[in-house]
Amino acid sequence: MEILRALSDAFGLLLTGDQALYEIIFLSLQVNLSAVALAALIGFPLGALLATSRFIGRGFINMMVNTLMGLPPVVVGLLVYMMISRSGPLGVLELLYTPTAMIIAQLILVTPIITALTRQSLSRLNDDYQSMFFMLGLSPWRRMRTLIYDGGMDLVTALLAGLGRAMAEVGAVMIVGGNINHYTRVMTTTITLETSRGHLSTALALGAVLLTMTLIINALVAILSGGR
Amino acid sequence: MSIKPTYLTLKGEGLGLKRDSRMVVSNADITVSSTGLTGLIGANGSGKTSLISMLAGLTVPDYGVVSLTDHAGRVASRKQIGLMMQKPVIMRRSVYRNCEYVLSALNIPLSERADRIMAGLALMELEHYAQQDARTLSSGEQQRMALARVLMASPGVLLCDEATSNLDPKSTQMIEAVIMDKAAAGMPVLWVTHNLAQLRRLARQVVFMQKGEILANQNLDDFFHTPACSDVAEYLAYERI
Repeated sequence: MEILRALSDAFGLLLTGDQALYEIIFLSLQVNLSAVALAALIGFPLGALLATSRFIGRGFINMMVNTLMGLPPVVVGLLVYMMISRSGPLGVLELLYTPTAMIIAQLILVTPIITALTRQSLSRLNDDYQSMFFMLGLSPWRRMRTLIYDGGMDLVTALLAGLGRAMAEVGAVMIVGGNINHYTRVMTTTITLETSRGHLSTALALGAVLLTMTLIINALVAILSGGR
Repeated sequence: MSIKPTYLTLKGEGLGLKRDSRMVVSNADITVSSTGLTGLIGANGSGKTSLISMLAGLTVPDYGVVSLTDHAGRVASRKQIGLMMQKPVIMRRSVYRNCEYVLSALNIPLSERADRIMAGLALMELEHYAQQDARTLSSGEQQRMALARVLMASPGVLLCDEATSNLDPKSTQMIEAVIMDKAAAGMPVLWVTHNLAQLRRLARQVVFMQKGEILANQNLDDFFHTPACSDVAEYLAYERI
């Protein structure tokens, strides 16, 4: 019965446009979309470079990308914390417990995913196009542009996969954001907090929003990847 | 396509290619020039694709040199070699934009592109598919598009590696007809095939390869009636099976 009441309260909060709740939702979107956009700026060209070029250090970068994909978020949170805390090398920037710090942590988590997926899909495409590129004597820059253009749908899939990871993240943003009310409180950290307090209705309302967003993202990934 | 191309001579001298310390092509001399279509024939694994790959510049030979020259002996750009493979490169774009990409990469003026593309597609009866995603074409149509795309760039020499294998008779016939027209007009063509009947239809000169070596380089009649060696005769015997 308690679950039913919590569910009813949760939908009440969503339907009545509870200001605090929507503030959290918007901050989550702001942090996650910013991190994913920045990660795409790094991950797309880096993935394309890894897919199309042979250069010294490529193996090492590939290994790092693969390793970072499996990095536990709390470890990323800890590392970013150490860098931006007052006594850290970037402490002077006073980023700790700000949305910017959360974006940095998310960026570190999402970039390897976008890079790896970009590398994988463009590598396949590059194999298909290679003989034509060669016969036409195209520059590496032009090859990369062509692959990014023709592999557009695959890259959107990579972007959405990155967004999915960012949306689900809690450990790193909790450590560097501090879960400060009206400032750095996002959906996942709020769910953790409200559940520990026993306020299940707020947690459930946010959970429903999070679940819906994740479902939409996964549905888009499935549609864009054509069932592959 | 009203553009008058400059035909070139593609020559491989002493070509050799090693794979895992085994010679896949040895000491191969071959010339592709405006003397009619040259057929390159041989069993699977005889080194035909390796040889054409070296001639196209896709593979760097371990031995020998490849040269591409015009009638005055001046070195020409490798971009003037047209290559058609068994599995064509199909970009994730419309048929029209597949063709446009190649013309743009070869710096063909924008004002000429549309005419060239539509004429090339009409030649292969693909003009109605211009706006269709090239990946949705049948394999025969894709290969016809690939030939149209190669020809609209006015190559100085054309290399075809089993370009009609696994195609339906209609597409095979259309491709053969266009290739024969081009060869008759002076375009140097090297045509790799397994198919002896096709060789009879198309080739004027025949190069026979076995175990990486060129064992015969004869005109078509001599190749079939007075084979250069017993290996050729043995290969030809399979035609009667």
